[in-house]
Amino acid sequence: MNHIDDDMLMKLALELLDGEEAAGLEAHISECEDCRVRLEGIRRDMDLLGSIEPGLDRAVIPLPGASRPRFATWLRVAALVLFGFAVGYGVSRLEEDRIIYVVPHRVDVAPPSHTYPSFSYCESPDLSTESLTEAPGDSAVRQDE
Amino acid sequence: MNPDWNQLGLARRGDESAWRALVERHSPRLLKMVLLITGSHAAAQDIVQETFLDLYHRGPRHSRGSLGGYLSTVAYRMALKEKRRSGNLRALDYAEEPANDPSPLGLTLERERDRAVNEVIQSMEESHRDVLILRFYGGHSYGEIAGICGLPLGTVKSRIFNALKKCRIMLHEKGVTE
Repeated sequence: MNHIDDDMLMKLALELLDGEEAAGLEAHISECEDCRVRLEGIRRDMDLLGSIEPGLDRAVIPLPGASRPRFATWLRVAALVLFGFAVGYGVSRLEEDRIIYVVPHRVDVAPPSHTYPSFSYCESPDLSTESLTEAPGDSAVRQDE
Repeated sequence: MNPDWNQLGLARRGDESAWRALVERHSPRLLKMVLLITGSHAAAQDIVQETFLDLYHRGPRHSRGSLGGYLSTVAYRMALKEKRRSGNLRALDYAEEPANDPSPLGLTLERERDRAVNEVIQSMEESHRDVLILRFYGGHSYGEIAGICGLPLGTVKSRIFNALKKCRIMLHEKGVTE
């Protein structure tokens, strides 16, 4: 039995052959232990070449522009403000026809009194009529009244 | 419609969960791809971030093709630019140093086997290495790789074949494989 050479086995492992050619080789390999072992060796080498683990798993990349409001957001805010103004203006137009009556009220405020009765200090209160004395200002107040 | 495009549309309208889903789905493979090309963790993080910002601000408005392919194309071009820029800087700063300095990626890999595999990948010529990275770490079809690199499909297929052949020999020489 003729064996498949290494170059053809490598092409088969790398999937470089067209379907018909690959099928022919695979039919042979299914019956040939030697070619099967060599093909497995090539596939092991390919796995080895692609097996370096460089310790970089994944990148953390934030979505660009996620931290600041986007144009669409500003547009929504502007539309909301305009809508608010429009509603306010409409309401104010409706209220223009209402007649408001203002009823004046007169409020009399008494002028503050500048004089107050004063009392002399004593250790113990003497409630007899004779002991009651008038301070000089008191008489003036009474005269005013 | 591809759910990726649908989620991009939602994200552009401010949907944070759609954006997060896109980033979580595509950033792991983009990070690996860019890291293997540039060899720098910081550059990989920056480029992947820039790639997603590009997608958001200037990405295609249509929903045809693969969004993963678009992201890989942008990231790959930025990675190549960064690789050339840092290569030029290194050439200016360390003209006396040996050319095969271990890259920052090589220094940070914990598993010995990963370091050996990385050395094999980095030792290949750029044209072969990039196709292999886009296939094995980006998970792209040959058609997508042809679009990303701007190459004919046949060239991509021959490069991936030659890249695998060389890598197998080097892995064997290093004693990583039997």
